[in-house]
Amino acid sequence: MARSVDAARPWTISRGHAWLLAAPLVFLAIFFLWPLARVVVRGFVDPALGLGNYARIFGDGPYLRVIWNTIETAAAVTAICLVVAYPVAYVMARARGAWLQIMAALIVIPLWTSVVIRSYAWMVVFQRRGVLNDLLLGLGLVDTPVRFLPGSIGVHVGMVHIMLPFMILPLVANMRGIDQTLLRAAEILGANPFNAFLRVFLPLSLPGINAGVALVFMTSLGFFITPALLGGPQHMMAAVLIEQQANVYLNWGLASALASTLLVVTLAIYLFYLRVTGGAAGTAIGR
Amino acid sequence: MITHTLTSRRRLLKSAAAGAAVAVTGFPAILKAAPSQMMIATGGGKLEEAYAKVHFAPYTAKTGIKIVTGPNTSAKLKAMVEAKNYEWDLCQVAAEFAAQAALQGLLEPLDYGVIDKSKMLAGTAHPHFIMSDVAAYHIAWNTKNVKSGAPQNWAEFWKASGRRGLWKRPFQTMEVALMADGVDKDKLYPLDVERAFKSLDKIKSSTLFWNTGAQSAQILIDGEVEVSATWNGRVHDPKLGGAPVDYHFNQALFVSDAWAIPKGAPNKKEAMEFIAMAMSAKNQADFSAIIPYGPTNTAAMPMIDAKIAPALPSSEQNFKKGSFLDVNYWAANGDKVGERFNKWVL
Repeated sequence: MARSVDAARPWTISRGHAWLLAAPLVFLAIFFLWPLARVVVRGFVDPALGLGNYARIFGDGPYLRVIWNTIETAAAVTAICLVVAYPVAYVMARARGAWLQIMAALIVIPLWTSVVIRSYAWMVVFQRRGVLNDLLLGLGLVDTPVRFLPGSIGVHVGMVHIMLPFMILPLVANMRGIDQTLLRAAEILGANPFNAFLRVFLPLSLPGINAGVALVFMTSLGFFITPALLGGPQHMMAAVLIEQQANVYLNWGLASALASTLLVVTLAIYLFYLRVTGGAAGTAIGR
Repeated sequence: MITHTLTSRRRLLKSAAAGAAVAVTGFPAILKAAPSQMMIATGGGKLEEAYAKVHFAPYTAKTGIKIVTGPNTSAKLKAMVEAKNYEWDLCQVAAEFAAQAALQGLLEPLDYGVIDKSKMLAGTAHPHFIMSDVAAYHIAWNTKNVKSGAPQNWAEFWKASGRRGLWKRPFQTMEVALMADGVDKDKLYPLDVERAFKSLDKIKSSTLFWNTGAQSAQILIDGEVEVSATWNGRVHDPKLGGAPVDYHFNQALFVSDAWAIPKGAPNKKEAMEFIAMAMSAKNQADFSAIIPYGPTNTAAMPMIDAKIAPALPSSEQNFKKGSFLDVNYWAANGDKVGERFNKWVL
């Protein structure tokens, strides 16, 4: 992938303006880094100093399985989001005027509704006497109501619905910056539309894809409400397990160790992703 | 061992929250002289509405102390006590949680000189918390799906055709699994965990594990299951309202809410007096007239309308059918059994 020097270093802070960062940095240090450090420390000292909590996590308990479930679900949700979002973003990037505004509104308005309410709405849709089953029964496609809940269909659909805007928006932002004359140039040079898309547009939209994928994947790893409401016990995700340890068993040491493990896994996946994409995932979000 | 970890935790926190602690410890001392209001953490909903009517209003009328409420988030209790920064004066929590909190040293010992426990049901007045009601986890069924021959006990519940619902938590579900396998309702503890899982294995594939009480009622009423375990408070009103659901108390497992005071909370004296009043026979009887949870103070029973009594788990005719959940067992073993349960259910 050809990248200009400017694209790799899109923005740097001039020294004279560095002080502007002081307030947000202090805020982050007090309200993010400090509590985070305490969580990490707690994983090693509560209930006793040592690696007891980690021995439990990496032992033969349910914990690794739940973390793996979490990664798997987040990956699937990210993949589905990308496939659904890409054409939408493509159309949106080319839309102008009223159409653009309508599309933007349709994507942004659901963000105003809380995740809890949207998850409950999916319960209404998926339940035994719900909208979807009524439709399927009415059309004669099934004889008895299909059991969607609790189950992985509900979790995936619910999560994709919630995460979709976070894939569409970075893609649109990126695609609107793609110079359309390049596509015309490709066609003039003999590429058919499919080839022009595949060899010119798609590579140019990679920073948008990377940003969307990073955003959706990492947010999905920490999902709580949707899997808790729509998922069965076998679809338990890490956040649900952490909440159970913190709130039900008051087992804060193990909860902290689980949260730290999830954090490390997330960071590791992100760093790996940065390497693979040559840093594009990090820089693209700012555009 | 527990006290040891608490002190080391406290030492850690001391350096951690030094600045904040200095700022807050001055405050409660000023308020202590005469609290103008008390903060009670509750689970909200219908229970809180009933408390407001039965306990809060008379308490305020008598003492002039206003009551405000907030959600009884479990983790918050622990955070408050560790940081010695109190938002709650007392709380209403699930009794099994209270036992867990007591074991971790998060609760103030109750003053049974102020609170009268002489008429309490056996096992309901604990050193650090007092159980305030008796609810039941019991067999219920959808009357359209199960027209005749509703399961009379957990063994029959296990054999019932179709799908059944159970709670996605080990509490209560483990006990029920053991009763289904033939364990006597009065000889459940200490739980034979392996036997319970073997019993659960038999029905795993035909069981819908629900998350919340509301969900258990919904799957019963919608007929998503034939039979389900649920709490009586969840199906009492729907049944009266004509929903296709019925239940009984055979081999019911009795569970409770409890009053407790966070360790070190500033308005301890007033909180004890509040609990004493809430546990009085009159208040308990008034509460059971609104919510179908039975009293734990036996002196309240004669004051209860004979028409209501059959719906209350601790009424004379129902109490002998079931047995109490052993909250101390769960406080000591919940974590380990929970881990096994999570593994089993995955």
